[in-house]
Amino acid sequence: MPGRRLIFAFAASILGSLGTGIYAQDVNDRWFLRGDFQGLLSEYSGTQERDALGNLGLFIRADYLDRGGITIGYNRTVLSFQDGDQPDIKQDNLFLSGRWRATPDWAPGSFTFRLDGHVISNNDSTNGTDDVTAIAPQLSFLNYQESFYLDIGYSVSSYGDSLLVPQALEIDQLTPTLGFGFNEQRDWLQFRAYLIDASSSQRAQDQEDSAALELKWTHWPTARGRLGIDNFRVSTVLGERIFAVDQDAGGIYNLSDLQTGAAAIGAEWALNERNRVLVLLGLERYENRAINEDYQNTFLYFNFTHEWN
Amino acid sequence: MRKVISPIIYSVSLGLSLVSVVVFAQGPWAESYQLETLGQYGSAVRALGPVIEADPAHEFAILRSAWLKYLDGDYNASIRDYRHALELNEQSLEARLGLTLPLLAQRRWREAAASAEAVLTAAPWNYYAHIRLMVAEEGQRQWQTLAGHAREVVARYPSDATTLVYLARAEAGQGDIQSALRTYAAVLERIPAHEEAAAFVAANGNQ
Repeated sequence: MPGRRLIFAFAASILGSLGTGIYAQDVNDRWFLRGDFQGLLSEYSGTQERDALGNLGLFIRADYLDRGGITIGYNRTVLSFQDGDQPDIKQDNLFLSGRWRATPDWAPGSFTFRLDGHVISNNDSTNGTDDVTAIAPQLSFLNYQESFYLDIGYSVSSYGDSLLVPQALEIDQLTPTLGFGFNEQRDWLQFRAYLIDASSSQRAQDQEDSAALELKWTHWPTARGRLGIDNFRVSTVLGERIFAVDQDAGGIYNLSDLQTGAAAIGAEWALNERNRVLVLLGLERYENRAINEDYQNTFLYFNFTHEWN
Repeated sequence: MRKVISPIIYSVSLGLSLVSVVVFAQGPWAESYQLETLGQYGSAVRALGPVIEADPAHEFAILRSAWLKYLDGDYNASIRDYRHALELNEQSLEARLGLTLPLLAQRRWREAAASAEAVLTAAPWNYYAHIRLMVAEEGQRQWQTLAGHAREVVARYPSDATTLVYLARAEAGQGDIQSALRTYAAVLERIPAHEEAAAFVAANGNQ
């Protein structure tokens, strides 16, 4: 596959310092490819406006050994409305991410610098959620025992000109995160704070500042049991957030109103070492202050992961 | 009391000084070995300074420097030295094997695996290369790969307990507790006081 090799060679030149001489020759083909195909089906309740939201996405991730890598992603989202005359919002989301891992001797773990970019385009007739671009750097630390994780993430998102509110909209988001592994690394608990500042409160549900805490718990059972489940997941979002950038999912909540809470449960199956299936079932609560509505969104998320090597 | 201790200290100091004189008289190699036995790895590296300064392509001095830097926790410098040694002699299996050590210490599993696999290409049943590849597979939770790999190595080194431990961990990682119990029992036949095996059997023996 000369095309694939060309891409790898290009990415290798970006990543740089791949080693020199003999060692570099030995491991020149040590790229690790992974693909994630994901889908989401969701239904709204308690709202006169929204009906359903569906999403399909594909992420391709290439890593050069343990040094770093790039991820390219694409998501297609369709939001339908109760009013049959209102056209669906159809959205394309492009995602590009690069990461670089460093292992300084003075630290008891490794640091990873990551830089994400998002470009979103849709046919929103108000243009308020269209023409979104976001840049999101993140610096993380994971200790060698994989029992402690810390990151600080930042994102700045800019939105297109709204036809309804003639104000520019820029979203600044800070996401400090702490993670802990325990029970012989069979449990992982992650806390991420979302601190969001909107430049225009009128375009953000009258909410200039919003804050939320996201908790994620993953448990790997000692034995997989009859269902063959590799790990269980539980997550929740407490507080409020709007136009959040989710660095774990590689997506932006640009089509959402003010999120006032969320909870999800899920399980992941390791079909074998190269193939994994993740299923999440969740419930989200939203508020649309413009029409004074509190409503819910029930979703089913599916992700299939394949590793080529 | 102080009068008694002082002569002892004096004698010990004099003794150490004489040892130092003897060591220095034998040159930087003996000094480096002596310092290594005392756990003074950084000083042991510095003792080789004159050798490497005189001959920057001194393969053995560079290999030894890489090893000492690994022991000293100076992993990135150790990696640089092992790679330098490989540039000087690309056939060196020792340098490739040595390189796995600081890489594993930094949990750079894929890089360590690549170096171990390079050794196995030239020497298919090199025991240490297999062990370090298994460490990398365990670090990546590649339980199926590790189990298959460990079984092959066990077939070649049937009395070796270490390989059996990796096989047992892989079986436990796949949730196959019964197989892991049998394998840990085999570990206990070879090393009756093996703590990990005994703890696993004690915790899961009734299943």
